[in-house]
Amino acid sequence: MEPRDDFQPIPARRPPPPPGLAARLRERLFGGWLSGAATLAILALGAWALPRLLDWGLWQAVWVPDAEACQAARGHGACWGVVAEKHRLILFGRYPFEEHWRPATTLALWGLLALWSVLRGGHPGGERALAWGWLVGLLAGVGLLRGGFAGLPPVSTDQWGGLPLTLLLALVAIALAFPLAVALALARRSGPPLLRGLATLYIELVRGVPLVSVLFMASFIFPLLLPPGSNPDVLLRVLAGLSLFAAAYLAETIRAGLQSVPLAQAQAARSLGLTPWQVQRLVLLPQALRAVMPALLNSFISTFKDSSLVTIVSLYELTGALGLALSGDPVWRPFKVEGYLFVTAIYFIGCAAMSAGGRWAEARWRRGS
Amino acid sequence: MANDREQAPLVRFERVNKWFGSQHVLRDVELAIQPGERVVLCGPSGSGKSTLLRCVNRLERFEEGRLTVDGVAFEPGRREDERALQALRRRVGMVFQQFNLFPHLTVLENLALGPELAGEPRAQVRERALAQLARVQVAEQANKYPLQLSGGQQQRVAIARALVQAPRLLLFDEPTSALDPEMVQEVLDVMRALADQGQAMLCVTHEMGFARAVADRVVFMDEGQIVEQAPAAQFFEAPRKARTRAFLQRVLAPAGTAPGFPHA
Amino acid sequence: MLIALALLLAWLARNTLANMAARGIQAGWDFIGDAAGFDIGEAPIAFDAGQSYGRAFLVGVLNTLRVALAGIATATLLGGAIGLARLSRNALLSRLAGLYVELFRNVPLLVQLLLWYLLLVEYLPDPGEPLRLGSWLLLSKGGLSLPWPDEGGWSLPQPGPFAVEGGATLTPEFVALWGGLSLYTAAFIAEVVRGGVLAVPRGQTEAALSIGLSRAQVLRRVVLPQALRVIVPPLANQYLNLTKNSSLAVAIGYPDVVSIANTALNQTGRALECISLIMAVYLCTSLLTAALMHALDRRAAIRER
Repeated sequence: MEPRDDFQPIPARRPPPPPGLAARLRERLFGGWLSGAATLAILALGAWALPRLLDWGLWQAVWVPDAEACQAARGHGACWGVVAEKHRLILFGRYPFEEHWRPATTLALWGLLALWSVLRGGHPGGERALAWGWLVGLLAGVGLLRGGFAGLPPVSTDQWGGLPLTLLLALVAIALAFPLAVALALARRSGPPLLRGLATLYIELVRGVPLVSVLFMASFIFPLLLPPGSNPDVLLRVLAGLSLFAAAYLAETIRAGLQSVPLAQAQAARSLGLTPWQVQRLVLLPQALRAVMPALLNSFISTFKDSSLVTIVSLYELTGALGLALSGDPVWRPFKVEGYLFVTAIYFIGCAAMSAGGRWAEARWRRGS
Repeated sequence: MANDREQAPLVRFERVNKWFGSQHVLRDVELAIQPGERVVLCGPSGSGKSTLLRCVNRLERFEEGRLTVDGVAFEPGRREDERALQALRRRVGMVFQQFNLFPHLTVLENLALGPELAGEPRAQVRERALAQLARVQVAEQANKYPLQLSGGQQQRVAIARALVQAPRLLLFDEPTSALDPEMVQEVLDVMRALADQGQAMLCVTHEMGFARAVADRVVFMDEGQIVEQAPAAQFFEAPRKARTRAFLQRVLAPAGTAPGFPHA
Repeated sequence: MLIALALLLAWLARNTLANMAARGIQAGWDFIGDAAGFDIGEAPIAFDAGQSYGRAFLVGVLNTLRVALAGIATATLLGGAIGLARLSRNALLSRLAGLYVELFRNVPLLVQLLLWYLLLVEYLPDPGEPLRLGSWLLLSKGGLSLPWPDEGGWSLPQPGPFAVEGGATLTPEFVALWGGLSLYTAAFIAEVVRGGVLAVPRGQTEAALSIGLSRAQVLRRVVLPQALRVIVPPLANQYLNLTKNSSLAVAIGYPDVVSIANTALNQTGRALECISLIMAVYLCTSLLTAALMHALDRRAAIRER
């Protein structure tokens, strides 16, 4: 007897709408008694703290640069007037007042470059254009700050300060650290024993000591290392210190990148007849560098934050400029806290934006490849 | 006996539907498993059989329908009683494809963890654990660490771990798929012995020989729905649906014998 | 290439000697025995201006250890809690924890320290009228005063005419550094803990649930022990970072080894010696921590065939 085939396949359906907002909130916030208790505690804390913060920071705050009004509001209202009054000093340090358009333009230029990097950075193969773009942008910015040509009055480096200096330090330090880091990574991984030992020694030494000590060394000892009579700029000394420091950390990241390239790649390249050096340069290194791009960005962000330490060796980048702007001014000095909050906000926005931009570009790159 | 037929099923799926995102992975599933019954769930990959299995001990939730397991009812939108769920999971054991033994505990400790945390006295737990290990023939490995054992031994320990709380139902999620071929038989033998001793089980597997020899009923799933279910003999000898026949043809060896079927 | 390196070093050495001769800088460690000539704000061992530089450095090292160990303890507790909160199913808790991590990781530590120090110094009451926290803690511009064992009993801090008397006092510098380091490092430790827990395969959680464990039991008995294996190395790295970051003490006036070496450097001009001393101290700490963590790692390792 023929088996009867009366199979009716059930068609796929759309899923039902997810439970309403109320149900979802209940699940997420009050899933268990512990969760519920935590939610209540947090809400209670928020209910106590938030109105007070808003009160101090917004409703009762003084927004105009009026020192008397600020004094009157002390204790119950923030004095954002200090930012209104001093923001140019904080942002640009001791740079001559009339020439502030120059560091401002430099900031805008670098900001646009950053935006362009995020947008282009998603495309593989765009690294060359990116590198050249930054090189040109960096030199242009430095030139603009320095002046001394085309009718621009020269401004010596010890007057540079504030946010442009912070960015300059971070950018140049990473730019200088990068080739050194690549050399160190290669040396440590596949160099002759003596070179490998030296590279390892350098990396472990620098990573084991705090940045402060490296900056001290740069400040006090570098002048001794150069021929007598030469007096290197504070900026140059500090840049050297920052670069040497960043290079050691970057080298380890690049080394990890080199190790992550599958062995098969190198073997395939060798079997095509390339010499070991060519294999490194043409096959392994580009892949390794591509893999460590996110780590490179993290390195930059770290250096951006670390640049605040140069205050300790008397270079007045953003953090130092704040101290300079307020410590010596008895009228505005009581409102240093607001000044610090302003600087905190700048760092936070800068770092968070860079991280987010990097993640966005990375996600786009992954989707594309 | 009339009483047996009126006994409530151990597991009952009533029009259960589940989605992963917008993918409809379980479609109007209706299934009942009686106490003591041994059921094999088979089908092509992606058919939803593992998902169905994992719904039984609530490792997966579903969006529509109703599921009752040993008296505990699950419905979307209904608040879950954590303690009842924990107690249920102690009555339903599970054996995973990747064994999932706890690598930081010895074999004995792996078995003892569940009962001890349920409040049972230590000595009693130890005794039961050793008994279960003996049952699956790995008693001598009691103080070793899981990664020191072979795959077949690890899976047998996993079975013992599922047995130590005397479950009313054992769930097997492709228990031999991750084993080297020479170790598949030792695990199948243990499972067969358990079945012979009357252990109720719901088994997702590709081992058709085992299904034929051991199962009371075979359920065939495809694209999220149950296509056919029948007593084992009938399922293999006279499958009713074309899809079932096509699947069996693909899975069984051309000579008509099933891989894993013990040759007489 | 090695020859080039050797030539470079030789040139640097020649410059150094020439410069030192020209500027009249002396070399050598003989200054260690000389009288320091400066006081130290807080010292775990007795110290006054007449004691040697060597002893001053020792005080510095002890101060560094003090704040580093205290910071490591609190940062671990706070960071562990926040890391677990990040993984919580309670949306509020995990979002807040995430916010904390983002906030504290994206602002330089120096700025945070300066801010905390400023807040402590500006807004605390004068030592003559301290704030009472609970029954045994007094808070003022002089610092945080707490009870301290004294001759068999306890010495309790009491408000005096000009300052708090009795008990032991943690200076605002210490409190700011300790607090700032803890809050900052906790953000990083939270991410390490979160990463470790997420690294444990999902099958482990599923197996643990399937034998009837509650979520808390799963975490405590199955997930965390395995997560620890992954957590220990980066955790050690964070401890090292905290110790190195304590060098920022020099910016807020806490007398750690960098501060004291800086003072000594400015007084004696022995830049090379003082800086190499700082580096040596931190390198030793690094080596010690690395060795300790290596031993811990071996014990926590899962035994395999």
